[in-house]
Amino acid sequence: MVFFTEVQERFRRTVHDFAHRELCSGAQERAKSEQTSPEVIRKLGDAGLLRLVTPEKYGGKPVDCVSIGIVFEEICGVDFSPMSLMLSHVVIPLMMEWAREDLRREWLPILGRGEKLACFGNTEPDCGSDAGAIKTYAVRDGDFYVLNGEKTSISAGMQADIIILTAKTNVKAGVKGITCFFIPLDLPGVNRSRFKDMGSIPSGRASITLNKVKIPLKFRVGEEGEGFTKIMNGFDFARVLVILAGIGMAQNSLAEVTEYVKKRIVFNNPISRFEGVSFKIAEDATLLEASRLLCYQTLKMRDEGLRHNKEAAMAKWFGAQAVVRVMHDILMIFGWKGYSEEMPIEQRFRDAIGLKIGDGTSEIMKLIIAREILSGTFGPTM
Amino acid sequence: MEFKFSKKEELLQWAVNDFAQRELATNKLDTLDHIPEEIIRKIGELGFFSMRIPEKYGGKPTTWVMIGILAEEMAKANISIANLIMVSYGVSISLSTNGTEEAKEEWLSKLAKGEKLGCISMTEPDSGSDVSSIQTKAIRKDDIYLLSGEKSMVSFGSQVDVALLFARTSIEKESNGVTAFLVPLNLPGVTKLPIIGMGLLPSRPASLVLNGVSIPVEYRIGQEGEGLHINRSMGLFSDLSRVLSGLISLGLAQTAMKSAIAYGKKRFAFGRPIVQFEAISEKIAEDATLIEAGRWLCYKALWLKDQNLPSTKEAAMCGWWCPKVAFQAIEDALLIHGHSGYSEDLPFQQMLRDVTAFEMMAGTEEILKLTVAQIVIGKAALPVNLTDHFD
Repeated sequence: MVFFTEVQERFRRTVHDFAHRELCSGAQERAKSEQTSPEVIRKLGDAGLLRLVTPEKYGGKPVDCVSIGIVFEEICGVDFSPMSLMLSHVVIPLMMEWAREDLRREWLPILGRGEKLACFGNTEPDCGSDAGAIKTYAVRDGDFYVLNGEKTSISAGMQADIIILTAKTNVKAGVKGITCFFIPLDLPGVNRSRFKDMGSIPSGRASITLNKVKIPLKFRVGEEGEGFTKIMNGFDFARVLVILAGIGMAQNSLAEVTEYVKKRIVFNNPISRFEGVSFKIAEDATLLEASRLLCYQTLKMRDEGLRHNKEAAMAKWFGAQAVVRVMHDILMIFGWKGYSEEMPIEQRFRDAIGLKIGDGTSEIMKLIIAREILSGTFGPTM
Repeated sequence: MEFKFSKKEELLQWAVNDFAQRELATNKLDTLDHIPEEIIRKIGELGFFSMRIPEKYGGKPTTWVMIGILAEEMAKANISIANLIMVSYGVSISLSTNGTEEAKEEWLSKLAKGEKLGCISMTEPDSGSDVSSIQTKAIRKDDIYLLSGEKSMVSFGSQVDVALLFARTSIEKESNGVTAFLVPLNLPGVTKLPIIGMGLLPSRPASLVLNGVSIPVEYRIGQEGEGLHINRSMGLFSDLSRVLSGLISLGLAQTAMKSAIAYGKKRFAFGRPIVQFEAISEKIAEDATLIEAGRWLCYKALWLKDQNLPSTKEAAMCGWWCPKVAFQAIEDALLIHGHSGYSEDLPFQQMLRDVTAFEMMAGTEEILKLTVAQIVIGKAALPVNLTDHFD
């Protein structure tokens, strides 16, 4: 890829080879499992792929954002099942930059090795896109905070050991009253329940309720009132990574269908000869290429310290749409075979649909882009 | 020119809607691996399997439009049951039009009552769109045929009693060697291998392996060599199947849209119901437009059939376009519900998985567009080696 430096290209080769060696076998079965395979977690942990944002002094092997994107594309291209966990293990260390030193020292190494698992959450039953309207609240009580509320649609929530979530410490202050908290999920008062989903099943998406959950001060991440910007910053990164994961999966699927259409004979010709088929592949390849470029451009801007909200939003809505369309086209080309569970395509298609929802709906993405382009006069009419 | 149903057609619409909403509109049916006997019995009792079957076999005359209404209203409540009805007419009407007296005596009134169920079996592992390339053989021996071969992805193959099955009686000329047969699926030599699909779970499809299955000559449907013509006029790739695939998809899409609108009015974000954002209301407006246009194209195709006018073009248009429209509408409905739409608690994810099957049910998009092209442009539009395969 024209975009990568020599170092990044070598890194890509290493991750690519690792993925094909370690994760090909059993990927189709794992896509339908209700949890991310502990063996896969171990392999990723051992390979350093769960500590890509963790500082070296906590055992991390930090790499630049473009390289993290490469990891998502190459790993999830072969096995989509660990995607949510890998994402959490990028976002949590990112957010813990603002946590207390003692918390970092205690948790970052074990999270980095995959010995403990993380998730993150803002969404609640009554607020998804309207991210600032959360109701979960945290009341300061001496050296503790007591939290009450419900978070929902937490990817990796069922398997995680800890969560970083948002809660209101000042209910009158709008988004400036939001604070981030680090919560071990085995504390009294924490309850979890699982979503049964059409796809990304191994993510173990969860609802998490907090009933008078008491945590020491050190579990607050950042200052009171700083939570909203911190978690939004996390999303700008996360949304590009999930799309790259989807692009990897779609690209590999496109390679598989390309081989198929050269061999499948209909009316005495391989179906690759019919433009109805070959042009679909041409269009899909174009869309994936464009999406990939949007993603890596965003990551490069992030690496250079440039503002990238708009680019991340473009990558998210455009890439999600592209991946779903590509997987759908591939399903159609494989016909009834592709529709059956005997092939991995139908589950991948189902996994792809989720990309349009999580980490920001397409509508919100377009609002973000509009805001940057139109500045003062954008936004819904009153 | 009138864009409305006759009194009889309206009455049927009401009756089917009443039954379907009361008995079928429940999530729980969507994930079963068969259609419950109880439901089939009720559908049979209401006469919904017997349209256009001769009265002497318990049937009654109806318009083609009425079969469309039946399919659409059923699909609004449950797409797999609508699928069953579509498939069953493929079998019963083929039998009624082309079957021997013996075969009709034995099967037709039972099919018309829903006491026996049928499926259509053409597709093979190496033969999909190119139906003339099927390999399953039917060898004539005195007054029986011996059938051998493998059929794949037969919808309802696991549950039904009999298949309208296509096999090769002659290898001489590609298209003219295919013949239609009625094959009871409990005969020795028939092995059913259930397959799980992404959706349409209650239609649990199966592969059928036939190993020297012996059926009487009376079970041949039509003459030897007429098989592809029968498939094209009333089987899987018929105009009827194409239109019904369209109507069934759109029926389900209408249900999805209705829920999305109700939800969008009560779900608040940024201080207002989300339907007040054009991002949401425009999606709904677009889907409503396309569904409206699609429905009337389907009913036009059926009206043409009722007038004994050609409907090939319109049916092919319905077949490739309406399921696509439905897919988009259902996807939009799912996404309007946000993350909840992704879970099994709501019906949308199953609907999306189900409707996808109808995008290939009566022919792939490519084949159907070639059919349209051939009519709109002429035979010049067909690649040289395809001209025999399109009528």
